[in-house]
Amino acid sequence: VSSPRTALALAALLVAALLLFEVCARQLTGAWFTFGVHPEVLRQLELSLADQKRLAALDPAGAARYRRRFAALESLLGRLRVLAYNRDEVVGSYQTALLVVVAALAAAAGGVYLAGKMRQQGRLDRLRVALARLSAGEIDVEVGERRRDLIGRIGAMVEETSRAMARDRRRLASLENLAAWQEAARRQAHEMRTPLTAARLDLGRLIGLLEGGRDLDDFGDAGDAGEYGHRGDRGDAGDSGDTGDAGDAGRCRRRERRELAESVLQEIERLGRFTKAFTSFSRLPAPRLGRHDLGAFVAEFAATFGGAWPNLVLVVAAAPIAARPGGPGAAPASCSAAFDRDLLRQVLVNLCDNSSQALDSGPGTVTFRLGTLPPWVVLEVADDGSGISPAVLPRLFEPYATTRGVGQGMGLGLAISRKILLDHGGDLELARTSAAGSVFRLLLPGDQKEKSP
Amino acid sequence: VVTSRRAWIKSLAPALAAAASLARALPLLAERPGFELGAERMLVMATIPDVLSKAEVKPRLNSGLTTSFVFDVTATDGGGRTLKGGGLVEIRYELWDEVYLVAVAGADGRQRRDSLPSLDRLLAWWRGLKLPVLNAGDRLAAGKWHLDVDLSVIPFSRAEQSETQSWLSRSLTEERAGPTPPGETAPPAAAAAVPVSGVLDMLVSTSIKRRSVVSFEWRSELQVGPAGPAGSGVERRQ
Repeated sequence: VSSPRTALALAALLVAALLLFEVCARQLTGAWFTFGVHPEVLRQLELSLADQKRLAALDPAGAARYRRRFAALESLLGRLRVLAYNRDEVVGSYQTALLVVVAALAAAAGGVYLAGKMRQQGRLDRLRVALARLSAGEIDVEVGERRRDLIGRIGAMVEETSRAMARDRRRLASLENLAAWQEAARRQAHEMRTPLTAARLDLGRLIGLLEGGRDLDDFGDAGDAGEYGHRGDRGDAGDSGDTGDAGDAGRCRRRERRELAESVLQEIERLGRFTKAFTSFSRLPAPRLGRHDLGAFVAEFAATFGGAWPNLVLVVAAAPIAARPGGPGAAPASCSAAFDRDLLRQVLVNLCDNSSQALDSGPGTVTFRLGTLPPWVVLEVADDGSGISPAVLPRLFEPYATTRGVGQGMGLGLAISRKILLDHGGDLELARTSAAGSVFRLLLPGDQKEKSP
Repeated sequence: VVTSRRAWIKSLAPALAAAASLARALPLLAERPGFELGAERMLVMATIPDVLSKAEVKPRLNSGLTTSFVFDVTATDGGGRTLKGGGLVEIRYELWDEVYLVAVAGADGRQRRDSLPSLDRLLAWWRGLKLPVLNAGDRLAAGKWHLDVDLSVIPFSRAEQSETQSWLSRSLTEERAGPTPPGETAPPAAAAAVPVSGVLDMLVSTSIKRRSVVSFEWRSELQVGPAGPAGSGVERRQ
């Protein structure tokens, strides 16, 4: 029974069949009726009546008994005569009932057939339209089939295909976007790295000269830059004991110059770190996939990195993700997935970094919870921070999108994390955010998507 | 000679046709119902045609069932004014005592019962029966009235119809529930077990109708005046 309507139609047909059977049975058993009103039966009853009277005359002692029998026979005879008068009407009633029931049965069967045919045609039409939309490249196509018969299953497959197409398009667009950003980062890093290296070397040479007790006016062609670079680490020039040539004023001037040079060197080092971040973003390695137990991996991560963020407590939820409409379902006993442990660890570190910094040194908890959302294995990372500003949400996963101040971050963490997940054939998405915290959802291919992207 | 003989025969033809028509009409005229105005201007059918002796009726009188004679009388004056009335006569032959039990219900609201020991006495009683059919009152104004009388002969009474219906319905139920011991009634659950059976029982039992086995129609005229009514009519039998 595929639907309540079909069940109702079957029930109606069953009732009609029972009614038909009942009428037919009555018609057969109604033979007694024909027999009862047969003239011979009536004549014999009349004779019996006469016999009772004769018996009463012959046996006056039993007259009362014969009178009772007579009355019973008389009553029966009267009834049969009444029936005989209405024989045609009674038989006609039977025939009418039979005709009505057969007609109702035929009409019900025909109605059920036509209704089913029309309903099925309507469903096929909806399926055809959905397939046409799908073939035209539309995404998020809804067939609206809820039944689980063949058409319903085909509809579900069309919807699933549509969702997969939409997902793949989004992933492709993201990958293309990230690839463009990666290329830009690579070029920026390349353009910055060369002058930064040269500047770092010159500064090292300058610091070496200053430590050697020479004034800036004495600078000629520099010697080995590497030599001066090493010298830059040697401490205060004032401690060398060479105080006789220029006096105290000269020493102070040289110290001041050396400190300025070291400050510039620190800024160059900071630029170098940014360049390194660009480089690491532009040169993300391809994941080396291996099948691992995601639950064990997360537990290991929480144990290893539990003290990495002083303001965070890492918790692996014992209870799986609660099933919600459209949300992931409960995790199976073993949550196996194909992933690169190092890259996935980097993703979790990035997410925890973000949570830690969003808490602004306040205490918080990051909770890991496993689940499934076929064909995905899902890992949810939830914090109890203050949520993400709606202004950032549209560009949340784009590179350089950050709410932090200048110099406090490049805004590459989420972009890199998503790129890693996309390279896994999965995705990273923000499941929900509110004033009570944010939940990120890591989607990793399940058993059906183990191939490397 | 031949020509004069033919002419003589031709001259006799209209007379012969008139005589034949008169011969056909005489028995019908003799069986017309007669009416009279009784006390309190009650229209009484004083002469009722002898239908008991007719072949369609006489055998039924001894069936043991109650034969009902239902009279419907419609009086129409020249202006189209119509008055309706009627009466009922029931005759049942008591098979044990071999007497005819008769009951009369007229338009005067009174019921009369009688017991007649033989068919001859019954026929005589019928001939002398005066059946009030219309309580005319002031409505039966002086003048000429046309009276249409319909008589339906029904082979059993309403009580016998009802009793047979219930008996048949009970028998159908017992047939489905199995035999019921004497003195016991069938359990009501048996009928309720299959709802459709109840519908069929009702359909079958209510198919027992009181249809007339024969009916008669007469048309009479009644002149209402100071001298009292005078009527004449013909019978039409269905």
